[in-house]
Amino acid sequence: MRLIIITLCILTIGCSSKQTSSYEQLDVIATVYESIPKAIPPPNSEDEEENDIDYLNLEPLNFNYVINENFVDFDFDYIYDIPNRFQVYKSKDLFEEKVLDFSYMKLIAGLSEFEKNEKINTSKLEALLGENLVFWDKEMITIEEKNEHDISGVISFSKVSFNEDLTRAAVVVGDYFERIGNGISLYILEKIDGKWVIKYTQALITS
Amino acid sequence: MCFPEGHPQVMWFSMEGILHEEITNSNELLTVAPATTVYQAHYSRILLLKVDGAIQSAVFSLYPSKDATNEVFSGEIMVTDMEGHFLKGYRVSSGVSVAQFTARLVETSDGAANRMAKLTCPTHGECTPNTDCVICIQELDEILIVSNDRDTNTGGGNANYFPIMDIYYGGSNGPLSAIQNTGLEWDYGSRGGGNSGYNDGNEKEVWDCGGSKVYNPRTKAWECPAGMVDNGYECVVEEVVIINNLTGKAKCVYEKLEKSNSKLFQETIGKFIDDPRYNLIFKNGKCNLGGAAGCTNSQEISLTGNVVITIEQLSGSVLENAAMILHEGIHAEIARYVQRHTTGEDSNNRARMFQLYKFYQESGVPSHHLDHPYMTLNYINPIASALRQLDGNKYPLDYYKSFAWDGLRNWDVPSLLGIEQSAEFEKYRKIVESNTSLSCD
Repeated sequence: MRLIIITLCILTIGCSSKQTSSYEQLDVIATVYESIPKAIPPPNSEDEEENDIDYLNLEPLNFNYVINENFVDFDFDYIYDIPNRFQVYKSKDLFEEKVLDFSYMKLIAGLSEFEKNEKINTSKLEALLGENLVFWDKEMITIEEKNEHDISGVISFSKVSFNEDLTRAAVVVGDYFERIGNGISLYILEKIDGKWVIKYTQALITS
Repeated sequence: MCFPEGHPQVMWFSMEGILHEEITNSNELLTVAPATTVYQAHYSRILLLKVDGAIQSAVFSLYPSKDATNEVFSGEIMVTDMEGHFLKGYRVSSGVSVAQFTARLVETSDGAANRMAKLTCPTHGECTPNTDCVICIQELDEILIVSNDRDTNTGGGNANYFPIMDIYYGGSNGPLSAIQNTGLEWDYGSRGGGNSGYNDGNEKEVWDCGGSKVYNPRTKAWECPAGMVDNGYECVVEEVVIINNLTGKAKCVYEKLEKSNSKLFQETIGKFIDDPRYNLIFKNGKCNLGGAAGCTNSQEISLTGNVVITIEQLSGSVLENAAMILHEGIHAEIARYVQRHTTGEDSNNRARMFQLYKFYQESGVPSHHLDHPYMTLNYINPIASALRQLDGNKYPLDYYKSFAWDGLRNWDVPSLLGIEQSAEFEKYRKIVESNTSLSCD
């Protein structure tokens, strides 16, 4: 009887830990997804006729993204080659960099350990973001599909790598618009006052 | 790559003729530089490879025996560190390793000349002070290798490899021409492929030895090796500026662009030709982003000066593929400019570019897209013009603008690409495609 109780306790703790990690993963993804602008107003220009462009009458850029429902591993063979110089996210100082220590790089190395063919829990992600999302079943999209569904591009996420106490996270995010003009960036987040906050980023691939 | 102060000079090398060789079983490139050691009968190369985040170096020398032919190598292979200390050695007979050399474990009180006199070099006779025989100069023992497995014989299996785990001699060009042309095949070995950017608990800077400076006993100063220049932080390659590893159709398209030599080509890809501090590397490969035709990686520009453009898939259209190479070339040139500007090498201030970078960065635009808004404002006409020139100026500029918008349609900052305009450009594109004489088939 005692053995059964101990086993049940272990199973309960194990499941609970997994659920926590799974929730945190979605929370990280939701944080990064929210950070990607869906509408960007036109920039200002001191010279209103720069390049013969009428800056007073420009349209905002609008992005209608779908989310790849599959986690993507981005062929992380190169993950160990990622330099430890990261951009400070949204720094007022353009090109401000920070050299991250080994604990962060270990976090990034953790990105290579995940198995393929796992899917995002779409309903929970929608609940976390509080909005209706459109999910896509692949990493890319054709021009015809974009036109038919009025989609700008597809955003894909890797699985999230956490430190042991779930206070730091690394995730790779890729987007696909057309055959070029895409990219992959790495995000490092930290949990501050119970909320995930993006701290550092690095562009891995530009297209 | 350091010589300790006062150490005798045993090797010189030049960055002229430096090559980046592929290593099977790994996505690393092995840097191979011609070298001359004090042993003039040796054909030597310096090998540089990033292992566990640090650049490891070794001197790889072939000393052919009289049995060696231009087809099959026979003789001795020696791998030493940069100071000439023995690391690995093999005897090769007709292309097969028959023995491995080991450092002598027993030290004697004899002087070097006496110890050497007791040694015999099987293929080069008695050991004399002026010999180039590996066994003599390194005072080595020889262990016969029984296995006939070529991979194992040449250092494969479980041996303690340095720094490339296996060193294969191969190819059909023969030992002398092969080493002169670095036509060797390198294999990463049983530790498997992949790269290490750092070592658990043992972080190292990539250039951990005074920025790769070498002690010059003549000037008694630490200097960059021949062919490298000091950028204030490290020694960087002076000569190699564009490494074109493209093959097939990608190579064909690139060469057409190069021949056309448009203003845009000169101002982007061509900038690397004039800038000895940065290397633009073209290669066929994977972008790790499903469906992408090509991509640019400038992550290591501050460390190595390298920007890599990878071509993953080509369409059937030369113009479309040329537009892609020009687009990636613009990313590469911007990365080079930003690096030069932030390190104080370039005092020119592309103020508008920085304004836009700041605006979109603060808006949360992913860092891999920060070039794109600036590109829509400044590069649509130059790309279209370069493609028009490539196509023999057959049609007006607008006919080539659809190609120029590839990869930039979602970043139409100047609001130039309304639905009607886009449809018109698409119509022109089809006309151009139907009538171009450009082909890489």
